[in-house]
Amino acid sequence: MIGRLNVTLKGVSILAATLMVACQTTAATEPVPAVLASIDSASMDKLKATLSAALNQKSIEFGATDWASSTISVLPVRGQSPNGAPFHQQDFAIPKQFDLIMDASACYLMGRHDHVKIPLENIACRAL
Amino acid sequence: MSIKKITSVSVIALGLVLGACGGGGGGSSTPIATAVTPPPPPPPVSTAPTFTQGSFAPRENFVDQCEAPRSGSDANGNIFPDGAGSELTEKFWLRSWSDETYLWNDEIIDTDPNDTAGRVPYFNILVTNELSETGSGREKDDFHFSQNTEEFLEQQNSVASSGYGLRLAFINSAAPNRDIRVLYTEPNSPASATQNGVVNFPRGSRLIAIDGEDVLNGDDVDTLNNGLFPAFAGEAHTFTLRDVGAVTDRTVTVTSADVATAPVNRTEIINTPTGKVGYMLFNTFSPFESERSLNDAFTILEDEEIDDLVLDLRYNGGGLVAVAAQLGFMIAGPDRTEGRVASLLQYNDAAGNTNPITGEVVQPFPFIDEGVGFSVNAGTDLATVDLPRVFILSTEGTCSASELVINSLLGIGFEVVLIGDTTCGKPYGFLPTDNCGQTYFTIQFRSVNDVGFGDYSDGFSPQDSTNQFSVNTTGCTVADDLSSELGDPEEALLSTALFYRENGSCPVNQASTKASPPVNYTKIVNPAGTIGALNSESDPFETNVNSFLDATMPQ
Repeated sequence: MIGRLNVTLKGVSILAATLMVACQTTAATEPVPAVLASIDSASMDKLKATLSAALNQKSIEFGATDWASSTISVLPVRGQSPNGAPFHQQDFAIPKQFDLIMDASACYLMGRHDHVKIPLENIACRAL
Repeated sequence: MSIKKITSVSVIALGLVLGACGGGGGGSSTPIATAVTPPPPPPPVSTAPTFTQGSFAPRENFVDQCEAPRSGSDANGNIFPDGAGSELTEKFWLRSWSDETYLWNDEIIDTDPNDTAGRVPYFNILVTNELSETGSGREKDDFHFSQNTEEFLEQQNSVASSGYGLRLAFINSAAPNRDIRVLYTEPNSPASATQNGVVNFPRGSRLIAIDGEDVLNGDDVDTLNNGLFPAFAGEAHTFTLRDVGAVTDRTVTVTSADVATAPVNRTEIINTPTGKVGYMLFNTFSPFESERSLNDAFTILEDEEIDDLVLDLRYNGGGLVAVAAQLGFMIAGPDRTEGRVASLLQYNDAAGNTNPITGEVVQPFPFIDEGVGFSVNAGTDLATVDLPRVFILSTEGTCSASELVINSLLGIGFEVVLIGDTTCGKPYGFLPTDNCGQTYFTIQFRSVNDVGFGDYSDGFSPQDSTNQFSVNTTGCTVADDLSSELGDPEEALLSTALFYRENGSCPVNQASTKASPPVNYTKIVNPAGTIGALNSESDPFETNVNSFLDATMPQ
């Protein structure tokens, strides 16, 4: 299906891009999928703060996320339409998916939608 | 069509000079030259924009140039971008923004901003005056609107969660003989709880009194509103009701609570001699939870190996389009939807395949066969009943994303049997846009299906409808039936769907006699407002506050 195909292709391309970058900058360690070392409230707050700054979004709400996997879903900011009104542009929004990746001792998020790397400072993660 | 004669160079130059002059407020300072070779003297420019018929500078030239700049930040923490400007620059922004983004921009009569006093009155004329292309006589654009941004954000951020889990129909919102009936209740809510074996608010019950005040003829609307719209959880209010078929009244006391809307209100399996029929009452695409709610329900239906599906969208006013695209897949399955478009947004002709709001190339919205991460993990395969047709129950309250499901399925040649009445007809959309403290709503796009069709501004109707302007599809016209519980095979819309399924035709005596309700379709306006305000139609967004309580088609 289109949706699945898109996701799969994006995932492959992201990984390839990541590997290429890694080869250029940190030849010693290949980037690998990672998970947060802890999903306690303090870690979540740090993660939200990082994403809030990176996405220029006041509040961050996570969508359906398996924290044992390396993929994190961030919900879009909603614009409410009353029942019976035309579409709100935001009705067409979908969550953003980020891959958590570990590179040497640092971890970062990579947006599947834009391939932008978001460093995670003071947030521990471990290789999956 | 608009003609953009001003070159980008001159526009940028004008913008820079205005910026250097502090927004064009009358200063005449000259930018300091830093180059060794002085540039030729710039042509004289006016600090005030000038009007040339049919010529539009980019909206960026005028954005955030405000007559009364705000300071600080808004309710979402965003710092106001306002700079010094004037009412005139605000109107020029409206003119350019409308020319660039309004769906029917070539039907706006270009009017000199100097000739209209006030930004809102000027915005109000930046609209098509044409009538609907369907020939119905309706205005082509009946959703042109603006409101104070602070109020808009307050509404956006309000969470109207306290209530009873009760959705009502306001058949007659004003005394005498005010008529308010129960449409449905949320599962596990105060409204659906039982006392002495009786559900607190059965479908169709009429409200007789609230906290002792006569609903039918009483004039103490504050008491009525306070009971109908509790401000907080934990408020106890007393309701007197007359149940369907009852000759005496019944009184219950219920306590308000924070009630979450269940997108899928109920799922039933109806066994018939010719196979299993799944019934699903799906009331909203809006909450992120709708993705999981639908997938859970379809997992049940898939496991039951149903032979037909009746999807009840009669009260579903829309919401997330991605979920609508998922719903289309869950109904029609992979083979019928693979590679097909559920929705493509079309902007004005000048924009082509570019979104004029964002500048991005417009991408089609496919049918989606997996979770996208709202409430189902991204990549998770969705359930599907993989059927060749669907029965959809509809009323005038069937809007936006609900209609998109119908249109998307019709676009792939899928059989949609519509049972009920004409849908609301909302193929259009907008992005609310703030400038200088006023948020503007102007129609900017329409949604079309896989074959490029999106002209359903007068809704979809069953083929036997007397509505000659709507888009007809297979089905039967039937009025909403408050006398039976939703999901009851005796309820008029569902029983008609079952009849059609068995016979391939509509029942003889129901269609023409029960169709087209005679009472006006009204919506609750504001829990804080008065009952009398129910008749107001001046502010469509005031319907936003409490989604439980927008009225629908009366019986």
